[in-house]
Amino acid sequence: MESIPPTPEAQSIESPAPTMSLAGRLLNVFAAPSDVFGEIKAASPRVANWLVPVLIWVVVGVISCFVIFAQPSIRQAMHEKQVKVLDQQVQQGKMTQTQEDQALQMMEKFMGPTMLAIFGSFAFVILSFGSVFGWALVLWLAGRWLFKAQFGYLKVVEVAGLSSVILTLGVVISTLLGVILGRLYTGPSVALLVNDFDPTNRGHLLLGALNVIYLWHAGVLAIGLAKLSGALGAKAAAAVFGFWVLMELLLIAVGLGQWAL
Amino acid sequence: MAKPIKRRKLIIFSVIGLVLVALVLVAVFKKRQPAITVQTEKVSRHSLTNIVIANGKIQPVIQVTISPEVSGEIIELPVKEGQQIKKGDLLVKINPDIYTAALNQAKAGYESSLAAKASTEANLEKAQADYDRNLELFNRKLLSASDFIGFKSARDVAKAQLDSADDQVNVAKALVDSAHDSLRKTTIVSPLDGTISKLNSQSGERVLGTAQFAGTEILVISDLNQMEARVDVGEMDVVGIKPGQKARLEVDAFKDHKFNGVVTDVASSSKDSNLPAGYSSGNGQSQEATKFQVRIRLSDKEAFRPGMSVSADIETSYRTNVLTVPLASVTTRPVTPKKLDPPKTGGTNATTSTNITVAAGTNATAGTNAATGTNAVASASKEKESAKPTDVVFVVKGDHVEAVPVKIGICDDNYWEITDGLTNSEEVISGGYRAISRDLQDGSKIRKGVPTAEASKN
Repeated sequence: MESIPPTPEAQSIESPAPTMSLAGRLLNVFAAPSDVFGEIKAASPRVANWLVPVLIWVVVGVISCFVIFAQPSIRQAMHEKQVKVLDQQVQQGKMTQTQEDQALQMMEKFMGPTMLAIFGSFAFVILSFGSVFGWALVLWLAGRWLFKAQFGYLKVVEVAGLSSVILTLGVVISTLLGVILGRLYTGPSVALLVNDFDPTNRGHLLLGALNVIYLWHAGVLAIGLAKLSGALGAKAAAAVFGFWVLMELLLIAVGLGQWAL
Repeated sequence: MAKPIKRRKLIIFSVIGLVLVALVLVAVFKKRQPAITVQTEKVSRHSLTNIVIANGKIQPVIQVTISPEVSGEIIELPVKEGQQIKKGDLLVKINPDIYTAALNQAKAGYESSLAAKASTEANLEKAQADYDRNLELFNRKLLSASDFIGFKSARDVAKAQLDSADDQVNVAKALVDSAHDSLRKTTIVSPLDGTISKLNSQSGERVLGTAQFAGTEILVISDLNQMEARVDVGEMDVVGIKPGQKARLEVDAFKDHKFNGVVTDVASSSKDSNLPAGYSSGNGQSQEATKFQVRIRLSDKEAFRPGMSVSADIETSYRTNVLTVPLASVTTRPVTPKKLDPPKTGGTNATTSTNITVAAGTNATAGTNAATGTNAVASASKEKESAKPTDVVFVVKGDHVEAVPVKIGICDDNYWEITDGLTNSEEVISGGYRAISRDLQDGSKIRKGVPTAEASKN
């Protein structure tokens, strides 16, 4: 019963007034996350602290989907990949040539750039909110169990939500890189060094997971966890990075590595 | 404390801003063209043999269908299918009874006509004697003119009767000969050395002679030592086929073995040329393409049997060491007249083409300069309309391709001969199928990739 997070109403009674505006907090996450999370810890929970950055992330993500799927080179690459998969099925006898032709016709008919962008946006919205609440849960559990700290779940939601501005920047950079390179799965990662990036190749996925933005995001989350729990920064970083590494490896191992990018 | 934080913020936001601005600039100024994955191959020199493929049947060069000339019941058939026979061997014997009777009847008629003739001769002798005696009496005025005329007429009648009797004898003799011939024809012997390749009748069966209708085909004799392939060639290909051309033949019954042959005869008229004009099978269009029969004499000996299925590769033309591109490289695209002119020129004809190019180009430029607004649109649409599907190959130019109109010559299983439009050093797109047939356009961006299943299956 002790693990149930306290309600925001109960905490807001004695909390001091915030010294930073929301915009200031959003910007300071990049340069002085420790100050931002220190204030979050001291202030009463506010929905705007996590909802606004997540909504910004969602809006940027949706725009990114429309930009990315409007790129002919990316659509061409996706088409070639689909043809390759279908060809393999034909070769293995799982599909006839006629069925392949029909499947390709259907794909060309219904998988236009707008439809792809709509599907992508829908997935992005779910992923964004899921990511924020998921990270918040991880941080909250880590604070409670590893560092024996007492703080509310909404506090970590605020931390995870504010940290998502890093990921928003990542989306912008990834979109621009995608437009430049004509690749769907790209970002400021070591995988940029790979010429023919193959999202089905586990090695390539590992390189893709070594993304500056993800590392930065994990680092900011670790700072948030350290602030809220009062733990040492190194311990918090070990917990967050450890979980992040495990998650990436798990996703790549079970064949969902593209979600790790 | 505030100063270092401000400085840190400045650095971080400056770096972020610089990165974003740089990426945006690169993204804006970069050509956003999809790269199509293709396979390439160098233009190379090969020796090509143009081959026309045709299917047909193996048949003996000499094949005789045996039909009786007289009708009747087969009483003797001492041969069986596949049996080898010599010239003069008995093949069929038809019941001769009726023909023997007919011969006897004719002979009797002949004898009768001879007797009639002898009687007529006797009558003539008597009439002649009467005439001679009465002529003397008439000359002495001892006989009246009317009586003398009677004797003269009797003699002339007797002469005419003798002539008639002569003719009757001839008729009777001809009847004897005819009956004899019919009787002889009840026995059929082989007209050549060969093999019974087909036996349709059996002993005891009644057959119809060719004197009436087509007659019954009793058997077929073939000389299996000399075989030929009779193949059907489409009207588009037959013009290139001439007697003496070599052919490689594959007989289904002899797998993994190719036989040599030489074209000996090309039909002058198509197989369905004897059909009435406008013949159709109900839907207004003929169901089969027009085919011409081509005969190819087999040089190799083998146990061929008439009717075996054969596929012939007839070598209609041959080119040595010519510029070639893979078969898959040549496709068609609508090309405007300006583009149609060959980029590489040489010789008188090429020069003429260049002159035409310049003229067309000048006109086009003048038209473009003069045209504005609606005129410009009309000009563009006119150009689009004037674009004709032309044979092109896509030549690699860095990471792009150029659609180059080419003139193609002959081809074999793998390569097209390029008679104009390419040079030896160029690299052309050879796959995949979809890229060449549909996706690639002049100026398309490409990426060289490994052949996919799609490419290999085409």
